[in-house]
Amino acid sequence: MTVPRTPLLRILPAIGAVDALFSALLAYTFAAMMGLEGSSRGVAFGVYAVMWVVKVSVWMAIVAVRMQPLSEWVAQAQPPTDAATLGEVTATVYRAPFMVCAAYSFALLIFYITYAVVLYVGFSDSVPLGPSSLTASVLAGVGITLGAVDLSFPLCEWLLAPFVERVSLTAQEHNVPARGGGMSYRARLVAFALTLALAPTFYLSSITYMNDARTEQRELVLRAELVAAHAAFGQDVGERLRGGSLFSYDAVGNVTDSEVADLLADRPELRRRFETAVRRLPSGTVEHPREGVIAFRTDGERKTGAIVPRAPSVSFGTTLVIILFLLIVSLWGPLSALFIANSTAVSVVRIADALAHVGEGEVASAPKVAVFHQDEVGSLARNYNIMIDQLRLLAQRTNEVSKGALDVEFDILRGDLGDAFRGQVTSLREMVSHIAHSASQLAGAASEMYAAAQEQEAAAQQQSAGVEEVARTMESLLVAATHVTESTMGVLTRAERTRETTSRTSERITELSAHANRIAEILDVIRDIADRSDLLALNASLEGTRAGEAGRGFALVAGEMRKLAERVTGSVSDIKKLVSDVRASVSATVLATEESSTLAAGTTESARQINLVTQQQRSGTEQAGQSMRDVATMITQSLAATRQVRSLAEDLKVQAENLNAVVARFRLPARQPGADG
Amino acid sequence: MTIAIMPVQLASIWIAVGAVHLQEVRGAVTWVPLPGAPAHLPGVVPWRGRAIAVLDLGGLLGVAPPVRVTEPRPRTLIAQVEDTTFAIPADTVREVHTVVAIEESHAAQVRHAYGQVVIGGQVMPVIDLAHALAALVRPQADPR
Repeated sequence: MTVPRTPLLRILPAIGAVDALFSALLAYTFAAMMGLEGSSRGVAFGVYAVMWVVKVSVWMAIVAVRMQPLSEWVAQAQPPTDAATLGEVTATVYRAPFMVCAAYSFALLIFYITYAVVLYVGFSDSVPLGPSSLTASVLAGVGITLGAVDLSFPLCEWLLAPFVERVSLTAQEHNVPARGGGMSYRARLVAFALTLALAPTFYLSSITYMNDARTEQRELVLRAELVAAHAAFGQDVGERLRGGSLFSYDAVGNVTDSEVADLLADRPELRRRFETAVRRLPSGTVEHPREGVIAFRTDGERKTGAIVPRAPSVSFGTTLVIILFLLIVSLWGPLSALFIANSTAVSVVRIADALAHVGEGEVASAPKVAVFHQDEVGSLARNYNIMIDQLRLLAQRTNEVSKGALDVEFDILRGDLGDAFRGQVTSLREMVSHIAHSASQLAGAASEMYAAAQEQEAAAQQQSAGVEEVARTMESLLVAATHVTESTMGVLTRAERTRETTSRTSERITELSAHANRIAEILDVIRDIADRSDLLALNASLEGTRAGEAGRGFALVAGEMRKLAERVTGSVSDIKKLVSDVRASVSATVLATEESSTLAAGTTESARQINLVTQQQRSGTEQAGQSMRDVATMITQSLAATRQVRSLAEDLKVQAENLNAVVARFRLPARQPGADG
Repeated sequence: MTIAIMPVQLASIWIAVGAVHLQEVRGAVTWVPLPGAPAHLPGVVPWRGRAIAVLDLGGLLGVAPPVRVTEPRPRTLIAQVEDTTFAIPADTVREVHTVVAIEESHAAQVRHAYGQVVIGGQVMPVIDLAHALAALVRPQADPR
C-alpha cells in the first residue's frame, strides 16, 4: 500500500468519508424520528448540510493546525533528528488520535445540538419540533458523539500507524524519549467498551424519548378528541380517532353498537377486562398490548366508551427509524470494531513478527518495533526493543566469545542474564585455561607416547624379523630333521636289511665253505685215485715193456693212461688250487661278512640311535618351531597393539595439537599482577 | 736195437733209467733211516716182505738235494741190479719210452750217465744204475 507522504491526506479524507456516510444516515434518522415530512424535511436537510460543511471545515482546520509539526517533519526529504524536533513530532504523532478524536467528536456534538436548536428556534414555522425534541436531540448528540469516538480514535490510530512507526523508530534510533498520548491499554479498552455500550444506548434513548414524546402528543390529540366527543355525545367521531370508535354500554358491559361489538368479538381479552372493570368502576381504562385500549366514562345514566383497537402493523415512521437505527448500528459497530482491532493490533502484529525472528534465533535480523501507543502494548514494544538491544549485544559478545575473545566483558548486560553470561564466560576462561594446560600436557604425553610406541614398534619389528628368521631356521631345521629322520629310517632299514643279507650271505658262505671242503675232500680222493692210476699206468708200462713186443700195445695204453692220470692229477691240482682260492676267498668273505655283519649291526644300532635322536630332535624342533610361532604370533599381536597404540598416540597427538589450536583461538584477558593460578 | 727207458725227474732235472732195472713204481714211501748208513743210502724201505735200501740218486748224481725222511717224494722206483734191489725216491716218473739209439756225446756231463735221449723235446741223460750202484759199493774202483 502506498502511504501518502502527508498525514492529513491520509486522515481527513477517510474520516470525512465516514463522517459523510453517517451524517447522511443521521439526517434521515433525525427527520424520521422527528416526524418531519414534506417541506419541513427539506428545510431540515438544507440546514443540516450547511452546518455539516461548517463542522467539517472547523474540525479539519483544527486537525491541520495541530498536526502541522508532524506534517512538516514528514514532508521533508531528510527529516530533522534533533531532540527538540523529534520530541515535538513524537508528541504530535502520539497525541494526534486523541486530538483528532476530540476535535471530531466535539465538533459533532456541537453540530448536532446546535442543529436541533437552530431548527427549534429558527425554523419553528417550517420545521415544527416539540419541546421534547431538544432533549431527544441532546441524547442523540451524546450517543452520536460517543459513537464518533469509537470510530474516529481507532481509525486515526490505524491511519497514522505508518507515521507513528517511522517517528518512533527514528526517535528510538536517536534515543529521544517519547512524549504525550499516554493512555493505558485497560483504560482504552474500558473507554471503548463504555462508548460502545453508551453510544447506541443514548441514541436508542433519544429514539425512545422521541417516541414517548410522539405518543404523548397522540394521547393529547386523543384526549382532545375524547373531550370533543364527550361534548357532542352520541356523535360518531370514529374517523377522527384514527380507527377508534365511541360506543354505549350497559352495567355489565354489553355494547350496543354492533360495529364495536364486532371489534370486541375479535378481542376477547380486551372485552373480558372491559366487562370486569365496568362492573367494579364507573369510569376507567382497560388496555391490552395486542388488542387495544378502551376508555369508559359514566356520567349519570350515560355510559360512554371509546375503543382504540391496536393497529395490525407499526407505522412507517417508526419502521423507518428502526431501519435507519439498525443500519447505523450495523455500519458503526463493525467499523468501530475493525478500527479498534486494527489500531490495537498493529503494535501487537509488529511485535509478533519481530518475536518470530527472535523465536527462530535470528536476533540480528529481528527488527525493532515502533511504539504505537503509550500504553501497556507500547511498554511491551519498548521492553521488546530493550530486549532486542540486549540480545543483539549478547549475540555480538557471544559471537566474539565464540571466536575466542574471552576477554569480552558482559558488564553492559543487566540482571540475571548478564550474571549468567558473566559466570559462563568466567567459567569458560577457567576451563579454557585448564584445557590449554591439559592440552599442552596431553600433547607432551602424546608425543612421548608416540615416540615410545615408535621405538617399541621398531623393536617389535626387529624382534618379529628375528623371530621370523628363527622360525624359518626352525622350519628348515625341522625339514632337515625330518629328512634326517627319514634318511636314518632308510639307513636303519637298509642297515637291518644289510645285516639280514649279510647274515644270509654268511650262512651261504658257510655253506659254500662246507661245499668247498667237501670238494677238496673229493679232489683228494680223485687225486689219490689219479695217483694210483698213474702208478698203475707206470707199472703197466713196465710190465708191457717187460713183455716185449707183445706188451708194446699194452705199454702204449699204459702210457696213455698215465698221461690221463697225470692230466687228472694236474686238473685236480688246479681244482684244488681253485678250491683253495675259493676257500681262502670264502674265509676272507666270511671274515668280511662277519665284519660286515658286525658293521651292519653297529650301523643298525647307530641308525636306530640316530633315528631316535633325530626323532627327538625333530620333536624338539617342532616344539621349538611351535614355540617360535607362538612367540611370533605374540610378537605380531604385540606389534599390532603397538601400532594401534602408536596410531592412537598419533591421533591423540593430532587431537592435542588441534585442541591447542582451538585453545589458541581463545583470547584470555591479561592476567592481573599477583593473580593466582 | 731198441732200448726201453723210463724218464724220472729228480728235483728239476730229468734223467732216464733203463726200464730193465725197474721192478715197480710206487708212490710216496716213508723210509726208515739207518744210523751210520752212507749218505746216498740213508735208509731202508719195506718191499714185498723185505727191506731194501733207499738210493738217493739225486744226491748221488748231484742234481737234487738229499732226501729227508720228513719229506718223502711222491714216487718211489723199485730197481734191481743184479741181486740188489733198492728204492729210488723221485719226484716224477713217466711211462716207459722205447728209444732206438742213445747218444753218448754229452754223457760225461752227468755222473753215471752213459748217454742221453731226447723225449718230448727234453734232453735226458741216461743213468747207468748198475754203475752208480757199483760206485757206491766200490767208490774208487770205477774212475767214471
